[in-house]
Amino acid sequence: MSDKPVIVLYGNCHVGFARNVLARLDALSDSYEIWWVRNFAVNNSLKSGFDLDKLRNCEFFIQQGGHWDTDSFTGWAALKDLLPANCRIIRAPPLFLNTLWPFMIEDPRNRPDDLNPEGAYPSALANRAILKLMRDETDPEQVFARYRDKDITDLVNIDRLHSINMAQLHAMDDDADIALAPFIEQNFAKQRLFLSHLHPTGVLCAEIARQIVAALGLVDANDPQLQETLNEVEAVHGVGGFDAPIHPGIVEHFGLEWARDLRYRYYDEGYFDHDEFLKRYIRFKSVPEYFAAKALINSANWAQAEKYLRVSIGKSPRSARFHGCLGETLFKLGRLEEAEKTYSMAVAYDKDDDKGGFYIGLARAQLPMDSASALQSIDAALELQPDNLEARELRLKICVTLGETSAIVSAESDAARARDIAHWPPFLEKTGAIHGRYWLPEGGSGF
Amino acid sequence: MTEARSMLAAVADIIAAEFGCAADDITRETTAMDVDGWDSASHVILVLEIEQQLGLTFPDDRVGDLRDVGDMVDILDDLTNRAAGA
Repeated sequence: MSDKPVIVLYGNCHVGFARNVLARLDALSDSYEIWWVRNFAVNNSLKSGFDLDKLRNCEFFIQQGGHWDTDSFTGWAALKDLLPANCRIIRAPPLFLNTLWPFMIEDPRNRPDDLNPEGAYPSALANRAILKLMRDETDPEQVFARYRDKDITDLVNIDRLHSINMAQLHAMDDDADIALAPFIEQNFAKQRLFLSHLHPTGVLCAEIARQIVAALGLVDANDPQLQETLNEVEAVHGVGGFDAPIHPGIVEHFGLEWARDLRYRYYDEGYFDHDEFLKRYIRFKSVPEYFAAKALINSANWAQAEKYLRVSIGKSPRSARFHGCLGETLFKLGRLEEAEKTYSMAVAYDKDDDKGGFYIGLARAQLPMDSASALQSIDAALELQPDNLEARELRLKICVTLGETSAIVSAESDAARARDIAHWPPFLEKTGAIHGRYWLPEGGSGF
Repeated sequence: MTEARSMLAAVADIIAAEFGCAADDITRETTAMDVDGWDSASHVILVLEIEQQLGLTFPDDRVGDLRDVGDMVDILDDLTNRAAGA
């Protein structure tokens, strides 16, 4: 067991993300253990490997929350007595932006279950104005037409909502040692800071991490590794499995140039423009079979998974991720030609979401049949993800198969470099990012 | 007292509709912690709903400082009385 002093980041996915940034900084990770403890799942954390005894060696405790967040308060009460007297507590505010999503509400049609704990349309994707229209109108097309016919300012006082939102954020800043409301207020119209009202983009995640690092006072603000890491964070899409669509009237109202013609992610089904997304929501369209397939894949039940994935693709034929999952399944079943075709479709349908990953799958399927094509595919993957260790290792394997000595030497050197940086925790881990129910999976790297 | 109760009832109805809880369970002492789904983000929507339905506007500097339902009711009563006195 390590006897390094501990930094704990206690909060939601925002600080979970920051934890993974801190862990990449040698100046911190060489001297500290760095942990994220979810403030909304203290009991889960106990089951998932965080040893509360570590709190007794805690030098810095970043506490996000305050009196607003119910479980945070409960969790805090359970944790605070374990902290040593010399532990420095740094308070960080919770963050959100309702301004761009004024209609959030719990949709009574939403039914979370074990496979999809958020349900098909959690409150961040639900729309109270549409639900109100649905009370009098059952035809989905009519509901959509009526919703879009209305002027946004007749549905909600956007400016007042924004004032309330900012007043709330400033009040929470006043309760904290880190102030993020000014950054949000000054930048929300210029840049995409949130994917939904609670989920920040890489740009905001970088700012949160920057301020936490500054508050710790252990790393110089101009540290090149910090700068490089924050630049990398800014390029990350953001937290969560979906993007909430922004009403075109709100895009106009605030002049959100970055939001014009946006396509919004709906879990793994794909990307949809605002109107497509809303039409699907009105019909409550989703593909539960995909979640069942993912569970079967996780238990290596490939034959059953294939059945569910084929149903899923029947319902959502242009989903890159559905095809990617089927490609993986067929590969595991040893049906390489089918896997190759399926991965090729995933690559074709992908909107820069995980194209690198699909190219890797494609190369894997091609390697036993056609090494030259596999080399082309893996090079396409590496163009998108140059540091991907799996891709570097696979490229080395392909080069060995092809037997060109100079190419093997070069691939070996590239793979060695990728191995060196592979110990970095990812900013986002797929397991926790989609549904948020996993707490500190392998390696304790958080989200 | 009657007026205070009616403002509490009006606020309780809005909270109940917003979070799917029973209006009868909402008292002056109720806080966000007592109601499932009432957190710092949904509070913003709740405040807007209250303002829109009651035709009143909370002072910005009190929005983030509302510790319980009684706090809300007192401010709303005050706003109503001022409007009536104006």
